[in-house]
Amino acid sequence: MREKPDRLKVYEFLYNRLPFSDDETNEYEAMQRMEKLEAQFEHHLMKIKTTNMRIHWHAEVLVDRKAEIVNVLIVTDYCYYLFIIHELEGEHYINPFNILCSSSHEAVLDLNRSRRIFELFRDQLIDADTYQRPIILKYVMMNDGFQLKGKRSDLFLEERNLPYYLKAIEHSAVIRKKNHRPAST
Amino acid sequence: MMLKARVPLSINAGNFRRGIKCRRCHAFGWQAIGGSIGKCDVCGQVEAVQIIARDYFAQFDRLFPGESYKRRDIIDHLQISVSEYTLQKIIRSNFRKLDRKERIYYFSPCARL
Repeated sequence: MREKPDRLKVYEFLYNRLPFSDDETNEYEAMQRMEKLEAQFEHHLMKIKTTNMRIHWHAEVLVDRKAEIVNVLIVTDYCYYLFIIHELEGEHYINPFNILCSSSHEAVLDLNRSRRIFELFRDQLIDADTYQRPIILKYVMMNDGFQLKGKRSDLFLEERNLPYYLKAIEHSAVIRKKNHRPAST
Repeated sequence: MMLKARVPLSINAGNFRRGIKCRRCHAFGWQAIGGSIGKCDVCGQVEAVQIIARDYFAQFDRLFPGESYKRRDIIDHLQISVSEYTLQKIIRSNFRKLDRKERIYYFSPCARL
């Protein structure tokens, strides 16, 4: 079961009790939006069997002195899956500098940071034995209105494809029996 | 999703408004119905007074840890008229006495209500 972040709990408690500054109001609203998106993701996650997975919600990492949120981290015996949830709407494209831009040519998301997040996790999620589990990072677009024009990217996962993706994780997370011998006849 | 670096919240106990508020609409108009159940006057949300009181003191204790309360303070914090029986239940399930004789309490919730 997912727990609300402590900071959001404090904001909810203090709302209407103390005057909030503009920055605090913006942060509170952003956290509420994020909470809604994570609940939406959890709704999809509840439809699969998660017994062979460990799920961590809402990890924050510092990338180049800015906090980056990895909303869901799913760990199986074979892989690490990092999901960053967004609710971008409208047409977007990836420019030659690997930056996601809106149709009005405004930079929305620096996809180069995904590489940095990936490296940061790779350096920290060190497996004890020689087998290093692969790390897969996905930006989950929780808005049906999101469209990607031009160059495609494997980094993005649309909400309509999320159930299939999670189902695939469920299948791949099944622990294979070691030294399995076929039954003798 | 990218956020700015975390800034500690500026919490001043002086302008802090006490009292139980609605979890859904954040309004303060909360009234006890039949002793142990409370209802929001604005949106109609219904919850057990004991649970909402525990959540209130748990959050308050997180912000102002180590605070001690007299019986009067607890009533002041709740700002809701509850029966003596419910008040006793709230106190017994959420607080412990600092001293055997004195009625000064600190927040220490029981595992179960």
